[in-house]
Amino acid sequence: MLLILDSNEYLFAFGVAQRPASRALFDRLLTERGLHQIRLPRLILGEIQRNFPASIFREVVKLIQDFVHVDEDFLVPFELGSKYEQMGLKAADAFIGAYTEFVGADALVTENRHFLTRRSDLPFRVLTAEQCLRVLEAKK
Amino acid sequence: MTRRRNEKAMEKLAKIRRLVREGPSSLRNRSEEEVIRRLRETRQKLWEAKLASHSR
Repeated sequence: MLLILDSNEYLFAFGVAQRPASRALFDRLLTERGLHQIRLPRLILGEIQRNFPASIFREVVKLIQDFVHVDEDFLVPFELGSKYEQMGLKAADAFIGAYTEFVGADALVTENRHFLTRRSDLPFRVLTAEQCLRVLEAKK
Repeated sequence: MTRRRNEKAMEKLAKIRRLVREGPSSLRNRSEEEVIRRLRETRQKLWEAKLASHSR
């Protein structure tokens, strides 16, 4: 599976707030790398950076550079962002939706319940970490 | 080879979790909802900064 993890998943996986499913998902993706592809846009990396001291962010980069592919934001076509804005998302959230579609991801994993969860016409699934773990288990 | 690589990665992850647990963080001890709200604010600020830099 090709997955996009939202910034909240990274923070929860690293221990900010108690979120066992996010931790379990990250552990699994880390130990099963090669089976799944993880990508993230520069914007999400920036959000992680903003919310950690430099000393921690440095360790995060060391960890993810081996198994997460980082894309530059400018790769995503403007028109695709507009499509998600028309769905009622704020521009920045619309960008994340557009990015997820642009890279052809199977799912966007997020704990943000406001994020497109009521849409059934998307080219990707919006899953919580818990739901994603169930999907991965079913595919085994 | 894969096992060793996984062990190394899990060690790095454990180090990050220890640093987050012990280090200074404005997000520590916040609820899940507060963390999500904070991240949404961060996203908005970064996006506005990006737009401002592109419109110069």
